[in-house]
Amino acid sequence: MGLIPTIAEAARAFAARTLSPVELTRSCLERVERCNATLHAFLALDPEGALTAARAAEGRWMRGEAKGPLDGIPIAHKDIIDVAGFPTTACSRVLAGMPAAPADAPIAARWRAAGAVCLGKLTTHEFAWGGPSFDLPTPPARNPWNPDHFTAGSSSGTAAAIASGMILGGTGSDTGGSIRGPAALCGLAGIKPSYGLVPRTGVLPLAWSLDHVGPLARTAEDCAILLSACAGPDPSDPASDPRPAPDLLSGLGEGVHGLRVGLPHAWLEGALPLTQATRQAIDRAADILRDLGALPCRIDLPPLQDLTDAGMVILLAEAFAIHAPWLRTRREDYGEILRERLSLGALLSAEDYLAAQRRRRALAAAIAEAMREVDLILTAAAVGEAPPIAAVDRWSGFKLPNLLLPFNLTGQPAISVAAGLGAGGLPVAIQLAGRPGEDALVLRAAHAYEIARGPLPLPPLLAG
Amino acid sequence: MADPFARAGLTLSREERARLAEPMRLLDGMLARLRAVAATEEPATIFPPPRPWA
Repeated sequence: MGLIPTIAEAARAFAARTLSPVELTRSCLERVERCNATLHAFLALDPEGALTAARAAEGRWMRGEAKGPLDGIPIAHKDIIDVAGFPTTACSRVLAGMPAAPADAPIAARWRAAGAVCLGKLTTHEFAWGGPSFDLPTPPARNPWNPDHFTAGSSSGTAAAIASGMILGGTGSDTGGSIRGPAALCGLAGIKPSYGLVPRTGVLPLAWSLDHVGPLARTAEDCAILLSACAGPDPSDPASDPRPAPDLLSGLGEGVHGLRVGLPHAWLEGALPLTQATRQAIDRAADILRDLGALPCRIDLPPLQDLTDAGMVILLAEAFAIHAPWLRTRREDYGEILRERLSLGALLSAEDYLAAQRRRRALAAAIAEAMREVDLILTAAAVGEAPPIAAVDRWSGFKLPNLLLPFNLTGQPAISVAAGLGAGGLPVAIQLAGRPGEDALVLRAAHAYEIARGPLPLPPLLAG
Repeated sequence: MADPFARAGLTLSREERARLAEPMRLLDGMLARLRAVAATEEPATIFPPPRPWA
């Protein structure tokens, strides 16, 4: 076990009594104390509550009554998710002064019921879309691999906190890549589950038909543990899948033998300026999966630009519908980036929105047809390494095709997995996507890949 | 009313309008590409058949 254990390693150490939940929580709180002034990952912290929960978990482990692998694991939640006792601010002046949430959102409640130790609330891009912004009540999170660099967003604080060892796992939301992007740039794993698998009740929406919530962690195995503890029906969320959650854990070690893995060559050749390290990471991932018995092959998917066009119009239209009342009356309370992005929604007509939704169905059908021939899609999770935060183009989402948004349109499960370091010493990442409902298969393949890939170094911030 | 921002009840400064010029052009490009293919995909299913009520 390294300096910072994974969730699975910590749970095994709890069982073996070589580590206690209180020790682990204290070490995480110490890293918050040491690193948060640089990384701005946490907005609100509850050390006493966390230690109380850790002591309770420790008692359960000592009595042989542990609730499972999450019992005693330090986690935290993105600040668009209700956690009892904390206000939900979305890092926006629009929600400044709100009272504390009276109850946990289901994702927070389910992790709490599984024994997870909640340390507090984490930085997000404003309302999960506006960032990196320097005119909000709190500054943007920084990348632990190099604090001058971007975390990606919008689950920026979650990724920064996990990569720096402040927590072992945390929540994110993903409307166009907001779990997978930060996971990719911070050297983590992050899964956008199938649409409807994890309830969105108690989570501030960005775009109803694209919003997903799910976990980020250091590994796919940890993501499986976290997702397993929060997946399942919720009658309060009309988009919640009413079927019982699938078993995400028991088949995790079964490998990839015989799985057909499609590489969408058109997405990898020319659609985006992928760096050499990212291209090599995809080639290496295909080689690793082939060595493990999988069957990589080329596939044809709809053009990335077509998927991005439909997704961005839907995202913008739905986000504008959600924010228009505040945008009319409290315009100056938004940060500049989100205020201006949302304002573009005024330019869309009902005809535009419906055209995008109809296009979405056709594109999703085309991807479903392509996936009759393969079990998984392998692509990049980011163009390359994290750029300097000062160099982030606030309109890049409108300029370049998006590698992550297609699977928000289709509702497929998709995971971002670290694939090594690039020329600048920051992480690069791959993405694996499966058919809707096949979250377990995606996690299984990512887990097999990670084991074969080998361990990654810790960020330099933690090495000294 | 010709100004879509005003029609939506938004008051934008001259500076904001200037900053939005490029993204408006990019959005126009997205919409043009969408409109070029939108009418070819029938039937549209905007509201799927409801499941039986309990």
